[in-house]
Amino acid sequence: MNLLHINDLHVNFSTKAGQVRVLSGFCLDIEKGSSICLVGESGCGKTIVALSIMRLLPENAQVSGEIQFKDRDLLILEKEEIRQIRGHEISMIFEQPASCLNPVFTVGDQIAESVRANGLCKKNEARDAAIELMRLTGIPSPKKRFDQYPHEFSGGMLQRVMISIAMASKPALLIADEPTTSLDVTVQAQIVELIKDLITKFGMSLLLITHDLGVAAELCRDVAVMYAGEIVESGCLNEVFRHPKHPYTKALLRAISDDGLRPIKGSVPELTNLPEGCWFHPRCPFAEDQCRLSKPELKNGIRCHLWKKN
Amino acid sequence: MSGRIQTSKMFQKPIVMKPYALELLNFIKGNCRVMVGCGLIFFLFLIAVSAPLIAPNDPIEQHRGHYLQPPSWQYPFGTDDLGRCIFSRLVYGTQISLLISVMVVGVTAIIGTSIGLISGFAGGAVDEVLMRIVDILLAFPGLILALVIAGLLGPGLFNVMLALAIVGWTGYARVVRGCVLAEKEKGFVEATRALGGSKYYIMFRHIMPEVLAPVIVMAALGMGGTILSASALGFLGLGSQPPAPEWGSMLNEGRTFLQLAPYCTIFPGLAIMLTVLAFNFLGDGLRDVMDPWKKKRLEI
Repeated sequence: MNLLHINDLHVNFSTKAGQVRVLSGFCLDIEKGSSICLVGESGCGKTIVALSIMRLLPENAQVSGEIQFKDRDLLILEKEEIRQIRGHEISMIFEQPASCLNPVFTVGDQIAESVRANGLCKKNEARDAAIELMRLTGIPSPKKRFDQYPHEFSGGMLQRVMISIAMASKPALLIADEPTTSLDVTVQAQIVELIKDLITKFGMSLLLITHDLGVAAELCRDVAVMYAGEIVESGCLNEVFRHPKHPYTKALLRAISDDGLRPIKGSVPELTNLPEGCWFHPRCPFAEDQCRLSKPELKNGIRCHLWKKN
Repeated sequence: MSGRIQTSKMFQKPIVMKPYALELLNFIKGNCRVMVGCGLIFFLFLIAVSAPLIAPNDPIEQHRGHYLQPPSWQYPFGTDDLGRCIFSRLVYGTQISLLISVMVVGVTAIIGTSIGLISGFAGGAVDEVLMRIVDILLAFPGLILALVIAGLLGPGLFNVMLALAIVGWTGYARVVRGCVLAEKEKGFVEATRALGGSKYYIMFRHIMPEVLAPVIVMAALGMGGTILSASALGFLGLGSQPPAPEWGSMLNEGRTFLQLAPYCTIFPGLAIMLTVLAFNFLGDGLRDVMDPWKKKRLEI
């Protein structure tokens, strides 16, 4: 039984320049207690997947397909029902913790607020529950820190606060949108450790969005590599990272190889102006005539005409 | 061992401070203008509340044979052309002026802030309609529009307050809407939405506190402005009707005898000036406190 089942998700944005297809035929399954990672360059539609699940896309987005969460289709739920799911059964943490906290309230207030919103305890107990959460996420001297404002915290500590807020409801699914991108490397490792501990402790599922393959390898069992709004390769993370089959995955992994950086030439195509055939072929070193003409389907977790040859 | 005792002592009594409130208090202490403003306003409210105790005479009683008398012990600020004690009238007039300013500023600030919040947060057609209404109201000079409205409604204290309120909310709405537009794009709004916060919850709990600082400053400055406008309407005969002791109408009544008995106009004029000045001092000082950039500059 899957906790989250995304089938044939399409997202279009209507802009002044016309319809822009940002996600096409996206499919993903997350089992209960498993962790999956979406990787890819910027502008590949990773965050759009997260926002579609939360139904937080801007108003000019058209969404079709289905997103099943615990037998309910999130896309057709009433506004009030989806609001009950947000922050209760699905929580999200963001890239910029500093901007995600309200600067005029103390950190403790904001955690307590999340505790209260979940109706887990009375007003006077919320403070204790919040301090407990702060302790759980490894914030030192939580009683003192409770009454401080966000500007008195460092980036890593703020991310811990965000995680406390997300954990208040003990959600079934945690969506982490680049949780470590704005942090420095030593702090990154601590936050990764913390998330890892929490998901095993509470049996949560994790949907991680990142372009840091190291973080992905540390946290997730499965991986889906995205390119221009599509999955190009998916499967068990160990398998995919050890033996990448799709040329894009290979290029991504080679870009950070031990013997220096090797950037992938070119950039992600504009979504309004996608190439004929395989969308990766202009940047693909192995491209053949077939790749320029017809678009490959996702077969056995690979979207490539040539993977058997290579 | 002794070290341990010390630490336990330190943790026994955690010093809980509300840093911002404390800072505010310190700043008010250090800021001369806010001190003077607060002191004067407190003094005025004291006068208004204890008017019957302070005033030596009845403010509307006409003392026959004591017309246009210069200041004396019996009539500290002299008498007007009908033999009424100017000092007593000024003391009672404080009640009217403060009532008008508190009511008008209170109502306009609440209405303006709500409309600004709704307009900025809803966007689209709602925003468009509300802001065009604001544009229309702002296209008229405020006092003239208030004059027209008060004229149409007929003279009287309540109608003057209504007229000033109809004209006054636009400024708050504009400022608040601008702040909301900036605030609603911030990360914590989306984060709250992702945590399941409803529209109204985000609007009132998260965005409103962010926009209150300019509203408070505007309200403090607006108090002075309102007293001035109310006096102007009173001067033109639209305020509270005789024999009520309204400062503006007192100026008007004394105008005829400006050369003969200048104290009829000087003292009401001074009262208006002092009150407006007090609120302006307070408003200016509060702006310094609440503007983080200015504060930083002061610290340097």
